Amino acid sequence: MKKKGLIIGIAAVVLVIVIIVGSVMSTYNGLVPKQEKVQNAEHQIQNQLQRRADLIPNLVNTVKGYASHEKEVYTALADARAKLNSASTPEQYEEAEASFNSALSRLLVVVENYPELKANENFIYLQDELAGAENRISQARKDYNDAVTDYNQSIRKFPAVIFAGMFGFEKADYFEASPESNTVPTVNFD
Amino acid sequence: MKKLFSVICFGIILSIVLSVSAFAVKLPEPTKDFFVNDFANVLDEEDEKELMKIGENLFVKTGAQVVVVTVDTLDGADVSDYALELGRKWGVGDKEKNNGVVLLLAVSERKVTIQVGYGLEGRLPDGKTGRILDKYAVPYLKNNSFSTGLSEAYKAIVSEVYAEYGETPPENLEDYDTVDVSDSTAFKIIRTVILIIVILVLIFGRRRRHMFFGSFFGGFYNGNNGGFGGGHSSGGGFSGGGGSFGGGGSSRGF
Repeated sequence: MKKKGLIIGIAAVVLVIVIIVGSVMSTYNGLVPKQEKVQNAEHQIQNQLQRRADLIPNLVNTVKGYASHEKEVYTALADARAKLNSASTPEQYEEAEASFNSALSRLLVVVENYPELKANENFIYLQDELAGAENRISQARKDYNDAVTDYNQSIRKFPAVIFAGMFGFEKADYFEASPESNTVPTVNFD
Repeated sequence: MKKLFSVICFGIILSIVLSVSAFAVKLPEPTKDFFVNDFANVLDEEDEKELMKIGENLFVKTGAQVVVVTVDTLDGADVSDYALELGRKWGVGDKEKNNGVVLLLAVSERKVTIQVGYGLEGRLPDGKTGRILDKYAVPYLKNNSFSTGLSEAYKAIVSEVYAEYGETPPENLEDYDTVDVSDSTAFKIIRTVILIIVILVLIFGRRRRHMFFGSFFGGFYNGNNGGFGGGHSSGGGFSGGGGSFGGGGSSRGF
């Protein structure tokens, strides 16, 4: 009788261990793609920032045709672009973007003084590209936040909450609009 | 008690964060025609039928989906966001190729937008969609000719998509000139060169002309056949293929 009890006891312990290991494994495997998605989304934001910056040489060339003497603005844009190109950490990106936005705003202010430029087909084309780039950036940020929400919720849930930290699943940060990026140059045709 | 309070606080914060990231406006479901969704009731019946047919043909031949939507109001949403969310929700375009386009008109806001799926951004960059709107939609929309403006823009988009897939568009879509402004000079040169070559061939290659054109058209004919091989399902309507959008495209107020 005693022996039987022992066997049942061992079986129960083994079962519990199997269940725990199984659930840890499946939770872990579930978290990996979610974390990956957050990282992807983050890179996507940086890609789109880069993409917008790459429009600048064309834009500047077009504007120069009408307003060649606004040298400071062009220099500021070139500097901001260089900063963005050399950025590697999210903080550096944020900083580069802030100076980029302010330079771009100044360019658009300059443009206001040249009605002929505003009617130029090439310029309208580039302005559309720029507006689309802004759109892509904000979309990439929304997608990033959605990925972060999904991931953060998962690591909070039971049983992940017990061991997520142990395996290096740290809470991801939301993208929050910084005061600088509220001054994002609005490019629209209203 | 303290714990309960913190749980409630957390819940409130979470719901705020969620509402910031998620799209707040309720979007309509697609009609069973899928390609034409005239919720604001501004399209003429004839235009609607024609666009439906154009959209269907394009889908059968290329697999791309161009969808036109009219709404009374955006409920406070931005026009490009609205169109993008619609495109994602409806899954306009193929899941792998993301070759969908949404053309949206908001009547009371007087705004129009073209949103392009990832897969067609190469053919329809933002500058070009803006040009399509300026040239084909806005002049009509300004005068409240919503039906004509949307039809023209729709056709211009579709003719671009045909070009992307190397298919010849149906005859009524041939005259839509949406050449990139940025390389229009290059285009003119290329056109002139082609014209010169054609003239030279006609003048000097008379004997071989027959062969030349024969093989040319032969190739074309086969190409079209391949496209039709996919088969056409009848009835039951169409639906999205799961395509996604990233914010490419452009918008105009009018």
